[in-house]
Amino acid sequence: MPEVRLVNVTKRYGRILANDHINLTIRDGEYVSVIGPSGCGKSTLIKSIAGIIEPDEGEIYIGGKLVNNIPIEDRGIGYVFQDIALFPHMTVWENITYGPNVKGFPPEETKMIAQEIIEMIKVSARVDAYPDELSGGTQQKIAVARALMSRSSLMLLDEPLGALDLKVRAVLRYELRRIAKDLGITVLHVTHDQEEAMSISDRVVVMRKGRIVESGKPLQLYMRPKNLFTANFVGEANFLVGNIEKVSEEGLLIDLGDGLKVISTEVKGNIGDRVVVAFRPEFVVLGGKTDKNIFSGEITRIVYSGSLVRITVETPSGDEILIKKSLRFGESPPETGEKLTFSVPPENVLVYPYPKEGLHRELSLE
Amino acid sequence: MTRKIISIDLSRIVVSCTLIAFLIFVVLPSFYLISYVFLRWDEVWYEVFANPIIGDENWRQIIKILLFSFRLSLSTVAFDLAFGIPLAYVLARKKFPGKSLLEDLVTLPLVIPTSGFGFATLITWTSSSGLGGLFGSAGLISMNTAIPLINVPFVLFIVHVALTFPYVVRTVETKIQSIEETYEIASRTLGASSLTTFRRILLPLSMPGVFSGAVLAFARSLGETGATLIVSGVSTTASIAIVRWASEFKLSTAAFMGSLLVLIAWMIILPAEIYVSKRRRFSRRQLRIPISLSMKIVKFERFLSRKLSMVKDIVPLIIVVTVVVIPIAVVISSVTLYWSADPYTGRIEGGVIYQLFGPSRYFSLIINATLTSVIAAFISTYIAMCISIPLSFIIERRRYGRILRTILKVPMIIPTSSLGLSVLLLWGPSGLGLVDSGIWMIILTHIVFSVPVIVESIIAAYEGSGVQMYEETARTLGANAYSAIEAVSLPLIKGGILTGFILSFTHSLGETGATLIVMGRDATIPVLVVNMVEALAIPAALFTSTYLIILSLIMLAIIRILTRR
Amino acid sequence: MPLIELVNVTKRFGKIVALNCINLSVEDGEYLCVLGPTGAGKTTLLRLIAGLIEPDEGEIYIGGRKVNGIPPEKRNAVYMFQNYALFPHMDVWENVSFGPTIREWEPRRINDVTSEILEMVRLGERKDAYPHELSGGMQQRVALARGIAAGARILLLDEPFGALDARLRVNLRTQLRSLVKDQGLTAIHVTHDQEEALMVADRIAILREGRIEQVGSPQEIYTNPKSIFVMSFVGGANFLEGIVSKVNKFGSEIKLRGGLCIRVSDQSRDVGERVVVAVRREHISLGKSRRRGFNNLLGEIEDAMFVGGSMEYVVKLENDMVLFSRILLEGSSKPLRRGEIVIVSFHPRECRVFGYPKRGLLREIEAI
Repeated sequence: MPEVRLVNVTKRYGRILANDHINLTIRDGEYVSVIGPSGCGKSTLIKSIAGIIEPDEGEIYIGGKLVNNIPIEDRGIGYVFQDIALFPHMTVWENITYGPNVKGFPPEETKMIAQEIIEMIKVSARVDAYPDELSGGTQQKIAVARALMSRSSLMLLDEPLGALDLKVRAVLRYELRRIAKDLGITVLHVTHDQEEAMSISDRVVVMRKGRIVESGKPLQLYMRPKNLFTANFVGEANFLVGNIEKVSEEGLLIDLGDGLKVISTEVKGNIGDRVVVAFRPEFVVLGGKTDKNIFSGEITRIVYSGSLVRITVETPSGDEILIKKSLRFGESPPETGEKLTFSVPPENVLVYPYPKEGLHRELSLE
Repeated sequence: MTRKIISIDLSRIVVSCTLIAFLIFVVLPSFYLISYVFLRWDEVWYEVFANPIIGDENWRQIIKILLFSFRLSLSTVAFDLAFGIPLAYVLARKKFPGKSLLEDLVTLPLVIPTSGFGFATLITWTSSSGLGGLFGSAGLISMNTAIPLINVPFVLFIVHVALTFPYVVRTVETKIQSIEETYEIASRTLGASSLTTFRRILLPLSMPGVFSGAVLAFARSLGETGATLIVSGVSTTASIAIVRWASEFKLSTAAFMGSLLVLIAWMIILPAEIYVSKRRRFSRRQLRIPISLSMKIVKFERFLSRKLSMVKDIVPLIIVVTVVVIPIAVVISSVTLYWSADPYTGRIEGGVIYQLFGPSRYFSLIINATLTSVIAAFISTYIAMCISIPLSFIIERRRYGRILRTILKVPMIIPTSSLGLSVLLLWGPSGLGLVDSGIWMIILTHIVFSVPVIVESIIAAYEGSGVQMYEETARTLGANAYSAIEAVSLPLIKGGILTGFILSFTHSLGETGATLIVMGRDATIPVLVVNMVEALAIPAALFTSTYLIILSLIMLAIIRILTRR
Repeated sequence: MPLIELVNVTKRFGKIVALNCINLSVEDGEYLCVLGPTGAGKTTLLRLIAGLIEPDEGEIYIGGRKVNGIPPEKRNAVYMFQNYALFPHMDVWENVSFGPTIREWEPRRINDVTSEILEMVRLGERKDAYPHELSGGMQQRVALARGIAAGARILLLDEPFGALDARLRVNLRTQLRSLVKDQGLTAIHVTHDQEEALMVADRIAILREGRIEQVGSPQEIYTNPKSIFVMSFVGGANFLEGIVSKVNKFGSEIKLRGGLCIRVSDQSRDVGERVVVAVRREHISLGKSRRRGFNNLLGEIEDAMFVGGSMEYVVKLENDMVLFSRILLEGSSKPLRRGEIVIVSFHPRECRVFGYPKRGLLREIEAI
């Protein structure tokens, strides 16, 4: 029995379609993230499931039951907010036990469960503190514990790490996943940070302008995004424009102009189609060892990002290509101004039809 | 280069002038009464406590009147809280058609001419042209019908409720708006019904606002004069006692009562401000309810939330309509009813036209009064603006700003009659002798209560639009303090300035209590209403009240239009 | 002579010491990032330089001149809020020309400068738009243009990307740096995002609880972190507690929990000393065979996660210690799976040794 099912859920604000006929199914125990740029409708979606917003059209099922007209307090879900929302006038203990208290649960049972959960998230030392005495990360953990107390099998996380420092986010996101998996909870996690989503989810759903663009396993979305927008949103990529010259069973030959041609193992499209070719910066192979998809150009910029080096190369046709490599021990990195030859394995060359709105619009992240 | 040097000195001059003007025109009159009592203690003692003819009868009277005033004001505030808090909640959180109209209805009592409004309420309840007429009687109740248990006249009570509830509603509404709605949503996602959410989350967090609003309403009620004069009947409140005694030249007794009221107002406001400004801004100690009781309460609230959500929205609305809208509607319809002649006796002498243009010639009085009122209102508001605008910036930017703001609360709430008396004694023949009673004294008086209104309006706009951030940005871009204000802050708060101007102008038009004491022979329109009622020229009073009320309604509409832009 | 210099600057707010005896100098034309967790004092630092607040102790010099007590408008240091603070009642043109207008330049000059700068940030077409009609990225460009037009020499950027989506930040970082460098400005860019700082800064100053922990180029900070905090905050690492068991001319041997021993090239510690060995995640490789000259430990893959173009593996060692290994995805390699047994290898020279911290390890790792 799927935990959450959305059927044609639609929500309008004036003329803007925040949610455009969304269909989504989340299975029991799945950790699903919904990502997308600001304004794509992901917040509206998760609030609709919680009952904070009422959709204009469509049905929402939780645990098989239609919940469209059921008020927030009766939907039995756990919700974690971006701005944490711990009640400032109550201690940590009072915050955590609030849910069971207002539902009239027997206090002995509440106490037991609370202690269990506090153990699990490791905040036993701070139960008598008030929220403003604690760090952001600790506050958010307590907010999660508070939501867990409802013993609901569905947790909705609305940008749960948005208010926290990068470092804290990087650590806390694994905690979220660990707790969810340990308790066997289904999670819907909304965020604008694709790295966050990709690292902890079973499945990632990409939204844009009110619609679901694509969904799949993180690695899948990264390696073989079905969609140009996804390719750009989920990690960095290089994009070049060209036309299909040859189509065969093994793949495509694409003419990028200025005598440059690339081979891809993808099989789609027809001869003459205008296409966009994409490949990830990490999949570039330095040196001209392979005989396929060879590029060369002048290094215009080198940036070190820890142990990663980001090399920007300008090709003779004026394209800027980004290459990401890890600095191997003892290796001496190249310098700006040097000529660099590199190639891209055909299986890492992705091909997409040229977008109607133009490449720039399609790749826009705002 | 020279321009910059001039600007620096200019700002110092401006600050000093503003503070001096503030001291002279606002602070001094507010507290002069107390010093008057101290300086003339012997006289006061003589008249109040050791009068050769009546002994300490005056003192006993003072006590009795104060007790009555307290009973009246406390019950008013209690009622205000009961329906004002739900109303504030609805206004702060809900969206519905006609919401801005409701907001205006809540603002109306703040600027409505008190004497005119008092009169309108009186005829609504006690005469046949009001609600009584619907039931075919000569009035539902009489002026002196008291509410059982608290023993306070009903009409007086209703008028006070009408004039004070906006303080509760607006303060609580602002406070609730400043609380993130996320807390309430979080509470509901955790399973709490909306009523439980209100009780356990919103109410504790908005306590400072509730407290603040209650204190303001209490002080307002204590100091209410204009409408009280008209509807009090045989009862006497503290503020109208001052008017009465001043007119009987029992100045010492009046001053003593006035000082007491100022002291009481001060003693209430100060602790309230301290409480509100403390870091722990909400009550953390919660009532320990036994668990079994708590479980039952929660279940009950869940039941109520489902059944009664409509009730909490509608009942406050009905009350607002009853106390504010109906009297206005009644007075307007009565004017038309009584236009040419008394509808019951048919006598033209009982008609509005006769009273206005006949032998009493009220109409010319009204024209003169209008002139006086408008000139006084305009000049006093203008001067008040000149003080208020720089003062607002001083309050926002200097460390002692908090203190200034607290001091400003006092003129807002001291009884207007006390204020009038204070100004009379300070500037008039018994004091510095610089001004005689008349239009100039009216202006001086009105400045005192206009400044706080304008300052609060500007500060609300200032803090609401995050002006400080823009100012700081402008400074780092090369603007000095003066240019930053001119180019950035003023445009951003001009809505607040405009609103402050109109609010204070309208309030000035309709002010009664203080004006009565200082007016000498120059009458303003609201004072005319009092005179007409005392002379029993009811139709003329009807006309004048309506005239005044419509004027304020127009002013309010102008605010609405300007701020919508 | 440095353009900006802070000498023994201290700032208190009530009992809290926001900045404690700060010494910092910024060269002309430098792009400095101030990196640190929330509450470290970064914003206070910027506001002090801008002149919006005054230090309780110490001096601030701009261009060699002491600026304590000098108002903001005379310092030539533009402060940019996280939400840009574009004047809402002015359109783009008026916002950008604000500085020159307030300085009463000739109208022709104002016109020329404003148009030029708007073209440079590619917003010439939107000069009549109002701030609320623009996207976040565009607003940022207007704010920058406004600062440049005002003739600023110094840009004080307070979390300039804080209000933007994560993915957008990556694109805009390099644009921001280019713009600053092209104009020859000096920038102090405050952030809590270490990746951002590593990518855009000439130098990074690490601020923690009001004190500067380390200043250096991104590479320096990354390869030579002076403390556990810096190493953890910038780049992250595995931290292994142990005791020094042997020291010789080739290096030291550290005994970890459960008797597991590893070799490090560091020789500065004494036998018996309690230490923390730190190894970057990228320096831990997982394979099927032992590597010569490396530390080789047996481990089992507990979890495999995909993180921004790399695979991150959680590996449990024989002594129950957990290590994180991050390996850049390189196309053809297949990711490892849970439960697989692997050989965990890292080179002794990749290990940094720190003394065990007085306040405990957890405090320094800055975990929540």
